[in-house]
Amino acid sequence: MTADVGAQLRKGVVESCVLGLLSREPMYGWQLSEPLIATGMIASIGTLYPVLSRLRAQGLVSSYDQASDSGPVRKYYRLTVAGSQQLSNFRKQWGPFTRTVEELVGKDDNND
Amino acid sequence: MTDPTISTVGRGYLAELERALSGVAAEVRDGIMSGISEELSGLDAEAAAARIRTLGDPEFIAAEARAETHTDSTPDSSPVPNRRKTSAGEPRWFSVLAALLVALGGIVIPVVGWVIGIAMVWMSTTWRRRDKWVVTLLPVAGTMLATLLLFAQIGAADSPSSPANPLVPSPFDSVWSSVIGSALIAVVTGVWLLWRAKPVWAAESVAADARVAAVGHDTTVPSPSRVGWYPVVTVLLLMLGGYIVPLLGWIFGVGMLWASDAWSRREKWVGTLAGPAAIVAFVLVGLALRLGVGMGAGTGNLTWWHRVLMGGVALPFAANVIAGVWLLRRAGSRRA
Repeated sequence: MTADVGAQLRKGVVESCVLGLLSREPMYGWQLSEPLIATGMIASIGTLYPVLSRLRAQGLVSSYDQASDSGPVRKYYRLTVAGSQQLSNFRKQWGPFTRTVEELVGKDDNND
Repeated sequence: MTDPTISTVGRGYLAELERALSGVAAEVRDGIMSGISEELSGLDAEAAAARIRTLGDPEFIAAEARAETHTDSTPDSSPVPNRRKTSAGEPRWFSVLAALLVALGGIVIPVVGWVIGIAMVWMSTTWRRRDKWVVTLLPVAGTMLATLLLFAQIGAADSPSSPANPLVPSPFDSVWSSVIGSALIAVVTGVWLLWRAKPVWAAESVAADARVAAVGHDTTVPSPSRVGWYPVVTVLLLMLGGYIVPLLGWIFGVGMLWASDAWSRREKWVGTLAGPAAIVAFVLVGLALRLGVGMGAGTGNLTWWHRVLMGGVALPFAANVIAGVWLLRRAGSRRA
């Protein structure tokens, strides 16, 4: 049960987490996936590309090709103006949202 | 997609990943393939193997991509594939046997053995479509070329105005040269298939290590050989029953086929009609040749026994073997 709840929670925020990472600097696919996998937000790089595809379709992220520090040309992803606005909106809502949920969940625990 | 800076192990892993991603939306599939290609670009074999262990099982990556894509309910522009397993579920003996049959099957059982090998190559997930077409068409092209040369020689020999040239091989020599040439081409293509399969097998071994490292045990899907005794006996009866107990053995196999829940109705019809369809096709081709123009001399060389062996034994046997192998693979994938 705990794993299902965690998966649902992660699905709800993984796109915003990608936007958050890209707000720091443009990144290529594997560079994005490493912190997401390390924190358990995604299970593998296979989850990341559908998310990037959705974000691009929504105009929140764009891509471009650039030679990386290690040599090969890589596809980098970066936030668009709309993506920055979306991330800003999420940040504004996240704090009050988590407090609300914590309050509700806390009450249920007290009643048990 | 072929980056020359990617090592053999890396190319094998990418090939396995591409097969695993079959049916995933094209944009997602291309993104994953290019992203991982970038990671493997410029790495030597050892570094690539280490990176592959970090990337993980191609099946797992593809499963995650499918799950995420289906959750999004994004229309899938790629055609939905059949339920066949990817190379991670294909036992290595299958591709080795297919390559050996391509190389030597036509020598052991003329033509029929080679046809069975080619069918297994096309069913296999080890090779790319381009490789399969090369292996299929090269001997056929060689045979057609030899046939054209033979007819040209026959035509020149029939001409009363052209004296026999001792430097030009006779039709008899051309036939035997063609047979030997076809056999050599088959052996070369069979060996070439094994060479093309090696990086895929190497990548599968690395991916298997990655699976074990990730979950602590091997998660390889069951091979088609572990389908249970009932489908195996059914397929054996379909292939050989009619020759052990004429007709009745095959009918019993068909009965077992339809009584089983290992296959879909469509698969059962394929298994049932493969042998009879081969016989019908042979009869129709024979009738067409008889009704054709200028083929009297050719058909006269085929005795009645030749026709019985070809149409009643060899062709239906080949058709039943091909259908039987296909049925076992379908049963194995459904069981997995």
